[in-house]
Amino acid sequence: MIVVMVALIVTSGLLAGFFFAWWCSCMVGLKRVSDTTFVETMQRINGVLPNGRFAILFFAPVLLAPILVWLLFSDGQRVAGFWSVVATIFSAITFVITAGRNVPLNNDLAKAQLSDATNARKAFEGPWVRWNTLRTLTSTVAFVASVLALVSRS
Amino acid sequence: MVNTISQPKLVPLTTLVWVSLGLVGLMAGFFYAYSASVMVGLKEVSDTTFIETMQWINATVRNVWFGPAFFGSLIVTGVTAVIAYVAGARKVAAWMIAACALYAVAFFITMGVSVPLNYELRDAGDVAAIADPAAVRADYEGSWVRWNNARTVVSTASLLAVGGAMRALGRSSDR
Repeated sequence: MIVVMVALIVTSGLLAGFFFAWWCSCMVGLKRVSDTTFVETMQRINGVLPNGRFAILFFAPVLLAPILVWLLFSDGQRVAGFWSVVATIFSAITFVITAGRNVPLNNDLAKAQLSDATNARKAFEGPWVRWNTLRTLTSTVAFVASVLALVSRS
Repeated sequence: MVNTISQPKLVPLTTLVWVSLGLVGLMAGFFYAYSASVMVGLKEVSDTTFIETMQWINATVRNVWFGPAFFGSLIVTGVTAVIAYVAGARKVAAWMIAACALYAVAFFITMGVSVPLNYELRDAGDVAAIADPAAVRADYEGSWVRWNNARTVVSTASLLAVGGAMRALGRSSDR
C-alpha cells in the first residue's frame, strides 16, 4: 500500500507542477510572442506531447487513486480512505478537463495554417489558458488530498 | 503514548513540512514540464521561433507565482530542517536536510548554468536582427536541456525526501 501511496503522491505532485509551469511560465511568455511563433510552438509541443514520459504522469494519478481507495477501505482505514476518494475525484476532474477541453483545442489548432495564425490563436489561447488554470487548481487539490491520505493512515 | 516532541513545537513543524511539500512538488513538476513537454516540442520549431519563444519565457518567468516557489523551496526546506532538529525530531530533520540539499542542487544549477545561458540568449537581441540564429540556438539548446533534465531529477528526489519527512512526522505524533 505504501508503494501505491508514494507513487500517487509523486505523480500527482509532478502533474500539478506540470500544469503550474504552463500556467505561470509557458503561457505567460508565449503571450508576448508573434502569432506565427505562438501557433508554430503550440502545434509542435502538442504534437510531441503524447509521449511516454508525459503519459505515465497523466494517467498514473487517475489510475492509482481508485486503487488506493480500494486498498484503504478494505483495510478499514476510513479517514485515509476518505482522502483517497477526494484525490480520485479531483484527479478525474483534471483528466476530464484535459481530455474534454484542452485536447480538442489542441486538435483544432493542429489543423490551422500558419498563414491564418492570428485567427487560430484567437480561438485557442483564451479558452486554453482558462481551462489550464482550472486544471492547475484541481490537480493541486488532488495532490494535497493524496498527501492527506498518507498522513491520516493509522 | 510517549511523545518526544512537545505540542507547541509540533504544530509549526507540521505546517512547515506541508508547505515544503507543496513548494517542492510544484518546482519538480515545473522542471518536468520543460523536460517532458516544452523543450521536446521546441526541438521541432524553426531557429527564430525557438529563440523568440525562449527569450519571452525567460523574460516573464520572474513573476509573483514562480518566485515564491523557486526561492521558497530552498528557504522553507532549510528552515524546516533546522526547526525539526531543534525540536528533537531527528528523523524528520534527517529527511528535511536531504530534501534541502537535493533542492539546493537544482537551485544552483539554475543560478550557475541555466540563468547565464538565458542571459546570453537575451543578449543576442531582437530575433529578427540575429545574423546566425542557428548558431545562437546551438550554443543554448543542448546545455540548457541537459541541465534542465538534471534539475528535474534532483528536485523529484527532493520531493520524495519531503514525503519521507512527512511519514516520519506522522509516526512521531501518533505514538
